[in-house]
Amino acid sequence: MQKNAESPAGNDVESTSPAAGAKQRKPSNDVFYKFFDELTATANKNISDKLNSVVTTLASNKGDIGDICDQLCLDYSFLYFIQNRKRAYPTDRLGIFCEKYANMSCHELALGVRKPVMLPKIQSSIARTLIRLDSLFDISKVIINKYAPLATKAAHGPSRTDLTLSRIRELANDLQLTPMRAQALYWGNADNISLLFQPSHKNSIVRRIEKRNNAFVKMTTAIMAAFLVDQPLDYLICEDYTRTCEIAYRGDNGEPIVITDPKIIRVISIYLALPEDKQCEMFADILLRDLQFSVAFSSIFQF
Amino acid sequence: MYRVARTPNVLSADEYNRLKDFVCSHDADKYGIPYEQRVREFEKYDNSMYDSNHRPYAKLYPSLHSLPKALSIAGMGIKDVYNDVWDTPLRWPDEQSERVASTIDAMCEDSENMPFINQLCSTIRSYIASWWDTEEWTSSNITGRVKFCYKKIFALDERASLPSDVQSIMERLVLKSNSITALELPRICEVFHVSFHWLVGYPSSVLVLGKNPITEEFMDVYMRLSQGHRDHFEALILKAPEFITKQVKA
Repeated sequence: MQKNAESPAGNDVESTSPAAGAKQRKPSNDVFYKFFDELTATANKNISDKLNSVVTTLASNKGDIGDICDQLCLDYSFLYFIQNRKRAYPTDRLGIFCEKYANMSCHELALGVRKPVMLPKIQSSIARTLIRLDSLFDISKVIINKYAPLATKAAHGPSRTDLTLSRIRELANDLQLTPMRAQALYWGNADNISLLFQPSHKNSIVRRIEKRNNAFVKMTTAIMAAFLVDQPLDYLICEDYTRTCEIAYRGDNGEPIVITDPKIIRVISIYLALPEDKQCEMFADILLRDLQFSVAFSSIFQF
Repeated sequence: MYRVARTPNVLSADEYNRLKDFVCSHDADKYGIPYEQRVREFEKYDNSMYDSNHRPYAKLYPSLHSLPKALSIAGMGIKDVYNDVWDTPLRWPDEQSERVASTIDAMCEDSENMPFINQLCSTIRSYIASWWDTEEWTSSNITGRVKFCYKKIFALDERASLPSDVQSIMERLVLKSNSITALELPRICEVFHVSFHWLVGYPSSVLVLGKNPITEEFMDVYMRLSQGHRDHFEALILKAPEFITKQVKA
């Protein structure tokens, strides 16, 4: 890991080629690492290609390259390094690029696969409840009007390490396990953990993110984590993943249902931008309406 | 006296004797049962615990399941025994659970809130992770439940970072499966964040910390939620009485 003096915020950057940095991890014979190294190389190539095409298009339209750099929070020299595949695109700024220029999700851009974010239990129950209630009353509008002014978090915030960890914790919460235990469960049979799947192993994602005090997670780690939790990259690196990626929830039979209603997407987006206590309040507000409605409905049928 | 080897989840001689001494003393007067009646009844109960058919000199100590029946002689509850007799305070694991339990207790006083609480309880059930719905709970005793919880919740190398007293209990359980005692259960409930009522497997009619059976049943379910979900549902439950009042007025 190197510090690049030319990077705008002085953040950590990761290099993609051996020439770019003196300190490189030795190429590993480990099958596990090889697989993810190849995926990362592909992702970096795809992102760099897309960036090149965007820059070329803008240049041909006489757009100002300086404006693009400002919008992407990258300085020109750093942009040059990424274009020439000497540096990987920083994961904390990938969301802005995808939203503004690439018009696709980070996962699709990096790995070429379109995949919706499967909402965790709390968000999916909000979505499911609103879909049910909206057919009778326009609850979404009320919720949006009430909570939109309280949304304080930026859609693409500066630090991503905490975000990635909190997203893994969120999914572990759904399973009611500690994040380590959840990882062991995802990656193998947790009752008979082999060395590779043991959370104390060097490949442990949670420990890897916790121990390395980086400003944002490296692309390899982000991809490994995405495989770990079976979610697209957007879920782990974007504060508001509804802006870049499709969202879905599981239906009664377990099949994924993609949410297309813009109002519901807006509600989820607001939920993600709220502080934690307000998130709880919003959840309570929606569920209470639903509970009240179901109680009233069942009492009518009793009569 | 010939003593029977301890079977799992049965009170030890010391625990039982302390209980007997307390019940047969004037300290238990505050629970409302007259002294003579209480002592007479408890003596009868004590004598009935000899296994007269098979081993006449062997005394069988009560299990935690049969304890509420013994305590009813003195008008006491499980919580009173832990707090007053065994000096091991039995309480909700955290303030959050305490707040929720007191709100549900208050809501239960109005019978019109019952459908709402039942609906809420069934909603919460859908948030509980599927690994709780195994047959192991119904088939196993308290020791089995403690072991299963420990194995399920914590990853291998996280078990080393648990508090030392709980670690020593779990190490002992590995060597001797029936070695858990009644006095260790409150601490285990606190660390594993499970309801004592649920861990022992009492029916909802037995009250441990709640004031009515519905609260006990509700808290059994609520405490199986993960921390993030508990925060969300706490906000919902604390807001519910005000919301219901508003709706009724409207």
